[in-house]
Amino acid sequence: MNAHWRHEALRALWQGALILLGLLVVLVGGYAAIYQFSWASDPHWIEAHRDRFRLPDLAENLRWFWIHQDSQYWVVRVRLDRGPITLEGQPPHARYWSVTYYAGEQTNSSINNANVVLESDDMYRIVITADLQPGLPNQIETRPGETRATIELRITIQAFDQPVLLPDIWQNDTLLVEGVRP
Amino acid sequence: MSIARWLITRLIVVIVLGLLLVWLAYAVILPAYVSGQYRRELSLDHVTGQTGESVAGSEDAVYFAARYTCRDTVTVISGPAPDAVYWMIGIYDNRLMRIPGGHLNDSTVEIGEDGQFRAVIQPGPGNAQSTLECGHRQGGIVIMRVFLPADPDAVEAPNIEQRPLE
Repeated sequence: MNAHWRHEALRALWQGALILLGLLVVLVGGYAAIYQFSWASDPHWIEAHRDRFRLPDLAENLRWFWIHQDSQYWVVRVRLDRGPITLEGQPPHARYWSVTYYAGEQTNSSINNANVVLESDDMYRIVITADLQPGLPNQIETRPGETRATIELRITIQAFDQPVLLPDIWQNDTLLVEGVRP
Repeated sequence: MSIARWLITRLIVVIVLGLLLVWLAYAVILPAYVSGQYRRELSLDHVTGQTGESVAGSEDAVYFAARYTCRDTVTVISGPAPDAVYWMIGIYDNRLMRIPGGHLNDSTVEIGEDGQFRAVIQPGPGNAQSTLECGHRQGGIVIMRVFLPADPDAVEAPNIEQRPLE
């Protein structure tokens, strides 16, 4: 009887391990596939790290480890192969803010509160494009051949009595993401 | 064996092994991987400086990083307070997660009359204006971020030294 139960236990163990392995391959592989193939299919701002355990945002938050408490990090995934990306918004009331385009670790270009040029309505319009237009302010150049990117809005030491106004995101006259206006 | 019994026994194994795997990944593999990565790039006895163009940061910032040990060790970081719009020092654990109580910025850190700041990484609480409390953790990464320095080339790397916890 003991030998029988040992045999059964071992069989349950390796079969359970195999089922677990299969489940992991399916779940992780499926999640990775959905993450890659649905890139920017439903672009929206997410606050990095705050909702780190929300499954749809999990992959994004896994990349944002270096969060520190003085800053808010708002990120959005966009496709660059469908035209230039334009961010329109009101500058945050903060000690420091920046819009950064991330294409890996090689290039991290930013427009920030020191170098931004505001328009007559005190709004900013930041263009992320592969074809820089000479003389136009607030342009961030993308790397050649880049088809997708993460754009980050970093806001450091936000004024406590002012709301965060996330910018609109446009692409080819289409409003991709509706921001917040005052 | 009935199908139900077969399913239940395998399900129990899946759950137990799954939980074990999650714990292993979180408690052992991830810290080991992170430590291994940064052991090659960062040192315990001096900071490594990088601009935001070469790390996952921002081009308008200057970054300094080093490793620290928390067990029975006090790490002292000192240097001139940068002339910048904002700067901070923060400690992260071996999973690159920020540590509560391990953050100082230009508004909270104590700066001497000579313009020098001094921050101490230690396991227990201390002066709130100069202590980064690492608690029971083994160690991790300390990062100093300087946003919009007046002159990026003039930002000096802080000194870092360790001594045994008394």
